[in-house]
Amino acid sequence: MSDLPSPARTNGLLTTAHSPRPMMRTYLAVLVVEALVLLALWGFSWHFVR
Amino acid sequence: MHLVDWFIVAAYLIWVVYDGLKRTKASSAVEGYFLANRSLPWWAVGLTVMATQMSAITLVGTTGQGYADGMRFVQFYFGLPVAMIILSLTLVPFFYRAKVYTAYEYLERRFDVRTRTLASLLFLMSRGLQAGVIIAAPAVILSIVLGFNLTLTIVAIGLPTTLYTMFGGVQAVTWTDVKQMVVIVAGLAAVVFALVLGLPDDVGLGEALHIAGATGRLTTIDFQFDLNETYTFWSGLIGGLFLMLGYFGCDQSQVQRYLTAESVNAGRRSLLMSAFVKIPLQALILLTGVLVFTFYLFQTPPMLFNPVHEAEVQASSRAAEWAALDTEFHNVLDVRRTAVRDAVTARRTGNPTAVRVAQATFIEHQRSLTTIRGRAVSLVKEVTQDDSYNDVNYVFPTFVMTQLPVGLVGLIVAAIFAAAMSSIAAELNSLSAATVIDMYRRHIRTDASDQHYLRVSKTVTGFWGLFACVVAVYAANLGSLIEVVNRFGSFFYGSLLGVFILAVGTRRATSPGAVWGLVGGMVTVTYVAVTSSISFLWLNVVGATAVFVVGMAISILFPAHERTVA
Repeated sequence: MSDLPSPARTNGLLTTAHSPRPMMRTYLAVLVVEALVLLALWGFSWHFVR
Repeated sequence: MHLVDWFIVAAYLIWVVYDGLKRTKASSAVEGYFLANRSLPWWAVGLTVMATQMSAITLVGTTGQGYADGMRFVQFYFGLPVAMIILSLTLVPFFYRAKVYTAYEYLERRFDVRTRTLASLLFLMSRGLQAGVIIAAPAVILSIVLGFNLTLTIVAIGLPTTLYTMFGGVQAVTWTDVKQMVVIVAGLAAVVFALVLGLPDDVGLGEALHIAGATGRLTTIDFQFDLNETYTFWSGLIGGLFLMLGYFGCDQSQVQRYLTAESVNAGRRSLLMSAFVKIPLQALILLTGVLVFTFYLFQTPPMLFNPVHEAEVQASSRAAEWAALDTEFHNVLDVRRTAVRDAVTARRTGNPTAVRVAQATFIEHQRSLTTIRGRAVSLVKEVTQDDSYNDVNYVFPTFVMTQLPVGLVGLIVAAIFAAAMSSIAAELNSLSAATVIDMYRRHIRTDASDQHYLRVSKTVTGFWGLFACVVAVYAANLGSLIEVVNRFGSFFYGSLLGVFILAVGTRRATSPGAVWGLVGGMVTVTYVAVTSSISFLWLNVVGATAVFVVGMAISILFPAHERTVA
C-alpha cells in the first residue's frame, strides 16, 4: 500500500500534492480528545482542590 | 533487592538484548539499518516515538515532581497535540517524499551543504552529550538506591543498549521499544494499584486525594500569563508547541522514527498516537507521585530520600544539628498524621467550617515539614559542598525499594532500565545516521559501497555508545553538567525549528539567510536567557522567531539565485 503523492517541484513550499484530507477526521479527533482531556483535568482539579 | 527481583531485572535485560540482536539479519543494508526499508506499521512506530521521548528521567524525575510539587508539570505537554497535527501536515510528508535519511539532508536540497552541515553538527553536539546524561541520571539514582557501583550501573544500562542497537539497527530499536513501553506501562499500572491498596483500610482514595488537593498538588491548569512562571497553560500551549515542533520535527532521533513508517499516513498516525496518549500518560505519571505523597501521609517517610551523604553528615561536626532536625521532623510527622486523620473525619461530617479548620491545621504542619526538609537539604549541601545534591529524584525509587512487595520491585527497576534504554537506543541510531549520512558519506568518503557504509554505521553506533558511557561517568560526578546539557537543548530546538520554517514556509529564504538566521537565533536565545528570567519554554519561541526574522532579513537584503527542490 502506498499513499505517497506523485512527485512535484515545490521549491520548499507546501502544495496540495500530498493532500491531508484522508487524515482530517483524525486531526479533528485529536483536537476534540485534547479538549476533553483538558476539561477532565480541570474538572479533576476543581473537585479535589475545594 | 531480593533474589527474585534480581532475576526479573536480569531476565528483562537478556530478553531485550536477545530480541534486539535477532534483528541483525533485517539490517543488511544501510536503508534497512537506519530506516527499516520504510516498512514498519504505524502502531510500532508510534510506540517507539513515545519510548524515545520517555526516558528514565521522565519516570523517576516526574514522579518525584508529582510528590514534591504536584501535577502542574502536565501543562508542559499541552502544545504537543497541535504540534503533531502541524507536523503531520508539513514536515512528515516533506521528509517522506524527499526520501531522506536525515532531517538535515533535506536542508541541503533546500539551501546548501553549509546549512545542512551546521544543523547536523548542532544535533550531534547536543544529542551526543544528552545520550550520556540519559544514562547518567538514572544510573546515579539506581546505584545509590541499590547500593551498586556507579560505573557498573552505567555499564549495565549502556552496554546492552549499545550492543543490540549496533548490530540490530533501527529494527532492533523499534521492536525493543515496543516491548519496553509495555514494561513501562505495566510497571506504572502496578505501582498505582499498589499505592491505592496501600492506603489505610478506613481511608478512601477520594478522601486521600482531597488531602493532597488541599496542598495544591492536584492543581493541573494555571491560567495566569506570567513569562517567568514555567508551568502555566500558556507556556505549555505556546512555548510547549514550539518545543514539540522543534523536538519532533527537527531532532533526528524523532524524525528517523517516522521515516521508518510504511507510508506517509502511517508516519502521521505514529505521531498522532502521542497526540492522543501523551497528556493522559503524563498525568498518570504525575498522579503516581501524588499518590506516593498520600501514601506517606499515613506511613513514615525518611526525612531525606537521597541517603548518599547521610553517613558523612552524621560523622561531621554538625551531627547534633542533623539529629535535632531528624527528631523535629518525626515529631511534626506524628502531628501531621493526626491532622490528616482529623481532616478526613471532618470531611465525612460534611461541615464546611470543620473541613476548613482541619485542612488549615494540616497545611500548617505540612509547611513545617517542608521547611524542615529544606533545612536538612541545606545542611547536607553545606557539610558536603555538594551543590547538586538532589532529593526529589529519589522519592520514587526509595518508595519502590522500601515499600513494594518482592517481584513488583524487580518489575519497576526493569521499567526504569527500559525507559533509559529505549531513549538511548534511538539516540545512538540517530547519532550514527547523522554522522554517516551527513558527515562521512557527504564529506569524507562519497563513493563507497553500501556494505562499506553499513560497516561504518555499525562501528559509529558502537563509538557513540562508548562515548555516551564515558560522558555518563563524568556527568554523574558533575551533577550541574546534567542541567547544563539539558538547557543546551532549549537553546537548540527553537533555533533549528526556525531554520525548517524558513525552508518549508517561504520561497524567498536563501542559504545565507538560513545560516546567519540560525546563528542569529542562537545568539538571541543566549542573550535573552542570560539577561532575563523568562521560563525556558518561551526560549523556543524566541529562537524560532529570531531565526525567521534574521533569516528573512538577510534573504531580502542579499537575494541570491537558489536551487529548487526536485
